[in-house]
Amino acid sequence: MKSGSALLLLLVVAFAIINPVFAQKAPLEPRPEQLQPEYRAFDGKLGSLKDTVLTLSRELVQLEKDLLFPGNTQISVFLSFQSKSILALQSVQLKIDDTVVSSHIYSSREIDALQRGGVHRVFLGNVSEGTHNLAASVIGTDALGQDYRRNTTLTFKKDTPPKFIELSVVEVVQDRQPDFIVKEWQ
Amino acid sequence: MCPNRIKLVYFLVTFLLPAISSGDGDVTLDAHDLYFREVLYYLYQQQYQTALTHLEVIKQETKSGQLDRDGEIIAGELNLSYGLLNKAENIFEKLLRTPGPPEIPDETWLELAKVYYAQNSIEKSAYALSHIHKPFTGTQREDYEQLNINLHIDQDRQLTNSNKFNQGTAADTRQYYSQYNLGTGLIRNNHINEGIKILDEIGAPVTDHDLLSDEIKSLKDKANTTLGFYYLDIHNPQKAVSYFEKVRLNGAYTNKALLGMGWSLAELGNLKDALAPWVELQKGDISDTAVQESLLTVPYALNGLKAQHQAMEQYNDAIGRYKKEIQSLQSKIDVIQRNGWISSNDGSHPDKHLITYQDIRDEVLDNPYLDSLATDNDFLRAVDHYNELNILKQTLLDAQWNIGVYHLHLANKQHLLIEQAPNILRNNYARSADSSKILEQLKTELTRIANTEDALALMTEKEQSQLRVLKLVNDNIADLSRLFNLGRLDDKLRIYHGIILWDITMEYDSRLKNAQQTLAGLESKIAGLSQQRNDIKNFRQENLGDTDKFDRQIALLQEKVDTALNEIDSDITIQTSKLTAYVVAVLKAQQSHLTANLGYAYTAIAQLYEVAYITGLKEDKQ
Repeated sequence: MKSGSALLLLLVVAFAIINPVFAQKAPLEPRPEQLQPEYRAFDGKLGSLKDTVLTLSRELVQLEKDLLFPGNTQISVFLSFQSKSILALQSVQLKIDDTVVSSHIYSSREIDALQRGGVHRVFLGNVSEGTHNLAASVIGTDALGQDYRRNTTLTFKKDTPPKFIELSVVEVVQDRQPDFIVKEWQ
Repeated sequence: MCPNRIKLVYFLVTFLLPAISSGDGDVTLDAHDLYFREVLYYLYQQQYQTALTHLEVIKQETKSGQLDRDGEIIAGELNLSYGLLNKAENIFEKLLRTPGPPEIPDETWLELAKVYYAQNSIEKSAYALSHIHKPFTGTQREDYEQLNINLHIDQDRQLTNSNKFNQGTAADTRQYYSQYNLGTGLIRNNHINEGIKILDEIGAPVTDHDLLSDEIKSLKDKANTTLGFYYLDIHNPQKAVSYFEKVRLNGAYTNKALLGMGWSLAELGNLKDALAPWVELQKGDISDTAVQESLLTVPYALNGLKAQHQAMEQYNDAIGRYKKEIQSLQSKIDVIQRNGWISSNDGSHPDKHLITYQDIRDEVLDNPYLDSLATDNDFLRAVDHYNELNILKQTLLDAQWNIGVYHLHLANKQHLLIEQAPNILRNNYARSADSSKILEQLKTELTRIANTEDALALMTEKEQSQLRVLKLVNDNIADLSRLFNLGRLDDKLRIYHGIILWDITMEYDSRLKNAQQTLAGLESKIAGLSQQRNDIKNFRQENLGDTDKFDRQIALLQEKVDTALNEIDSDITIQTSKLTAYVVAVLKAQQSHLTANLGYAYTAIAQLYEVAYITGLKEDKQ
C-alpha cells in the first residue's frame, strides 16, 4: 500500500512536472506590446537630432544662397506644369546667352509632383546685370502619345534684385499640344 | 505619406496660394508663391526633410518669421511626416488655441492619432481622434475604424454596441483584419459570445475559397486556430476539434492547429487519435515551437497508451534533436556576437547602410528562429531608429562636402580680392595712363590736321612709300636719263605725283572722319578701363568685409556639423549594439526554451525508468 501510494505520488509529481511542458496554448492575439521605455526615450532623442539636422540644412541653404548666388546676380528658373495635364514630360534644357546652364531628366515621381502643382527649380545661378537671352526646350510625349519638343526664348533684363522666371508647360485645349507660358516674377 | 495626406495637401494648396502672407512686405508675394510650390514639389515626392528645409528658409525670409494659418498646417503635416512629433504637436496646439478657418483637417487628426498610437500614447491618440467630425471613406475609413477599436480595447472601454462598428461584409483583406481585431477585442473585454461570433464568421468556409487571397486564407486559419485554443482552454475539446479541423494543412497556422488538435483529442481521452496530428507535426522544422512540443507530446501519448519502450525511444530522439538544435543556435549566437547582426546581415553589400523589411525577411528565411522579429514592435522600432540615424548621417556628410565647396569658393574669392584684384587694378591704371597719353597725342595731332587741312598727314603707308619712290627717282633723274631712254620722265613723275596727291586730297575728309572715330574708340576704351576700375573697387569694397563674415559662418557651420556627426556616429554604434543584443536575446530565449524541453525530456525518461523499476519490483514480489 505504501509503495502504491508512493507510486501514485510519484506519478502525480511526474505529471505535474511534465504537464507544464504541454501547457502552452496559443493565446488570443495579444494587445500591442508596450514599447520599452528606452525606445520611447530614443524617439525623443531622434526627434532632437532631426531638428538639429534640419536647422543645419536650413543654415546651409541660406549660406549657399548668400555666398554663391548674391542677390544682384542671382537668377532662378522654375518649371511648372498645368495641373491635370496629360502631357508626359521627359526632360528640359536651359540656355542663357547660348550657353547650356541646366538640363534635367524627370523621373515619374517628379512628374507626378509637378502635375500635382509642385514647381521645380531647374536653375539657380548668376548672370551679370543687363540684358540676357533665355532659351528653354522641353521634350515629352503629348496626349496622342507622340513625341514633342517645344522651345521658347525670353529676352530679360537683370537688375539688382534676384530674378525669377517661371516656365509653365500648358496644354493647348484645341489641339491638346503642349506650349509654354513664361512669367517673370519679382 | 499616404495618398490621402497628399490629397489633403493638394487641396489646401489650391486655396492656399492666394492667401500666403509675405510678412511685412519684405519679400514679394510672387517669389514666395514659387518657393512655396517648390516645397510642395518635394513634399509630393515624400522628401520631407528637403521640403521642411525649404519651408524653414521661407519662414526665415519673412520679416515676421511666421507663416500664415495654411502654411502652419502644411508645416504641421510636414513635421508629422518627418517624425518631429513634438514640433507638429506644438503647431497643432497653437492652431487649436487660435480657432479659425481653415480648421485642422480631419485627415490630419487621423494621421496624428495614428502616430500617437504607434508611440503608445493612447490618451493623446484618443484625443486626436475625438476631433474628427466627418465620416471618412475608403482606406481612411478602415484606418479610423481600426484605430477606434484598438483604442477601445486599450482603454478598456465598452465594445458592446456592435452597431457602432461597421462589420461590413468582410469582403477584403483590411476588413478581415479589422473584424479579427474586433472579435479578439470583444473576447478580451468579456463579450465572449459576440467576439466568438465574429471570429467564427471570419473562419467560416466560403464557396469561392480558392479565389481568396493567401492573406485572407491565412487569416481564416488564424481565426479558427484562435477559437480552437480558446475552447481548449475552457476544456471544451469537442468544440476545439471542430475549429482545428478547418485549418489548412499547408498554411502558417498548420503546426499550431495540429498541436491543438492533438491536445483536444487527448483531452477527449483519445490518445491514439491524438498521435496522428502529433506524429505529423514531428516531421516539421524544429525551429517551430509547436514542433518542439510535439517531440514531447508523442512519447507522452505513447506512454499513455502503455507503449513505454517506444516512448523511451521517442524521448531519446527528442533529446538528440534538442541538443543538436541548441548547439546550432549557439553557433549562430557566436557569429552574431562576434560580427554584429548588421555586418553579418549585409556581408554581401558592405556599403549598404539601411536595413529594409526585406532584409529582415531574408534573415528570417535563413534563420526561422528570428521569425518573431518581423512583427516585433520594439525590434522594428530599433531598426527604424538605426535607419533614420544613417539617413541623418548621410545628410550631414553631404553637408560637409558642400561646406568644403563653399570654403573653396570663398578662398578663391578671397584670393581674387586680396591678391588678384590689386594686380588687375595696377594693370588697369598702367593701360589707362598709356592710353590717355596716346589719346592726348592723337587729339593734338588731329586738331592740327583739321585746322591746317594737312591731308598729307593722313596718307597711308602705301602712299608714303609711293611718294618716297617718286622722290628717289626725281632726285636721280639726271643720272637715269643719261643711262636709259626714259622719254619725258620728269613729266611722268609730275603726273604720278599729282595723282597720288589728288587721291590723298580726295580721301582727306573720310580719313579725318575715320581718325576721329578711332579717337572716339580710344576714348571709349579709356572710359571702359575706368568703369572696370570702379567695378573692381566697388566689388572689393562690398566683398572684403563679407568674406570675413562668411569665413566665420562657414567655420561655425562646420563645427556644428562635425558635432552632430559625432553624436550620430555614436548613436549608430549604440543602435547597432542594441540590434545585435536584441537578436541574440531572441536566439537565447529560443535556446532556453529548447533547454527547458531538454530538461523535461530527461525528467520524463527518469520517470519512465522509475516507473519501470517499481513495476518490475511489483512483478517480482508477485
